[in-house]
Amino acid sequence: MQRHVAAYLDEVRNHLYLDPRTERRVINELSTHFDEKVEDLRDQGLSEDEAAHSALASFGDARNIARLLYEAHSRGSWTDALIGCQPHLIVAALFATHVWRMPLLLGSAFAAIVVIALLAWRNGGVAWVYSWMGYAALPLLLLAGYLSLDPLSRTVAFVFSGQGAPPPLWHVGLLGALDLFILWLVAATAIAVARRDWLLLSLMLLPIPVVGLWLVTVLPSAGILGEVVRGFEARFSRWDASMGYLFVLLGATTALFVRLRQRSLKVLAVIVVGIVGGALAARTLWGGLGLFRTLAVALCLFLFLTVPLLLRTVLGHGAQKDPLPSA
Amino acid sequence: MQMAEPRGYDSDLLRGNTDSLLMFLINEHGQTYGYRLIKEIEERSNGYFHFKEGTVYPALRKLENDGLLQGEWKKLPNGQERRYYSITDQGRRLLQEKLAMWQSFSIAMAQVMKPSEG
Repeated sequence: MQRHVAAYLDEVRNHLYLDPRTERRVINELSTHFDEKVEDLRDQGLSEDEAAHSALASFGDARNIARLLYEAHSRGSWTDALIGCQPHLIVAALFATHVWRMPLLLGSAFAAIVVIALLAWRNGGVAWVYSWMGYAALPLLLLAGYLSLDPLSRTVAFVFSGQGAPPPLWHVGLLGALDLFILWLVAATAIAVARRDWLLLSLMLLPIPVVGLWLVTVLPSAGILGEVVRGFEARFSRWDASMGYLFVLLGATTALFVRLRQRSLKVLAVIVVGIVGGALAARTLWGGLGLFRTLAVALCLFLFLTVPLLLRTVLGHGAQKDPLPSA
Repeated sequence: MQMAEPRGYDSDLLRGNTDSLLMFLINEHGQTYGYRLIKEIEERSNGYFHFKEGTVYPALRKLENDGLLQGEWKKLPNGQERRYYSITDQGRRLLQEKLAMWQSFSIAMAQVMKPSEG
């Protein structure tokens, strides 16, 4: 394949942000077009280089073509939108009905989310999977943190104050391996998503600030998670309605994200609602924050939601370059 | 769909009718592919309609995702693959509606814009 054409197709591919299978098919179709066009132009007497340049000039700007192709593929169906907002609505329902206090139901809900997310991820390419993946990562990370808490605190107490006994080495090794596995799983998934499209990773991260703020508010007051769910106090329930509304807002945003075609509007929806949702959660949970603190929270949320963009910039597209048909 | 450069007509006029144009030609051929469509539109219009060629593919993909066209990969003798498009029943129904609408519209335009007698 002519190197100018190959470079052009790489430029299109880098800005497509589609699932690898669709991306491969789109690039193959464009590649076949260039092969035929170049051949036609050569038959008209142009050199290989002239033909390639002429074919590229008549094709249009690579980024613009990539944008149009993205818009042709980016809209999910209403079913996708409905399924995509379900994990947010499940969590909203857990708060609205105060069921989050019941370990069995809470565990069952998140186990179902993890299973559905993993099955959909394996299936690949479904438009609604990313919101599920965000919620699926949460219990895994919490589990890793929760299991490490006791051995870690015992080790710290032993090392720094000589109190108690450190946990057995096999215990530390086992938990360390489990933690590493969970972190690897979450990080590898996040990297794979960011390489495809950083915006999808931002969508995955959308509930993290709201859930995170709630956890850091509730956990220090009530001790570790076991105590929260066992000895629930009325002071935690006063936030349930607000939290429920916030998750409904995140659900509506996810549905909107799936249905929108234009990338700029998708970016706007995720970033604005992510910041507003997180800031509202902070104001609800921490009381009146004042303008300066609210702005500081908003800035932190903005940085958090745009970390995937930085990740994508550092990692690059990363898609396997398929051998394209030669001219 | 975007035009390379204005050639004596408002590009919005064509942009609004690109889908009909593509569906019409695909319906006529039964099954055809992007490059052939581009060449045929230029040939049939004697070069009057001149597309930025890359914009035809997003239009085809959008029609396919909307269920109006159906795409199929076919292997060529030289080992390459080419995507062929055919019109679906839904696409054919929409095409008939658009053609009828276009005919009524163009007749009405011609009648309004003809020089008045006397």
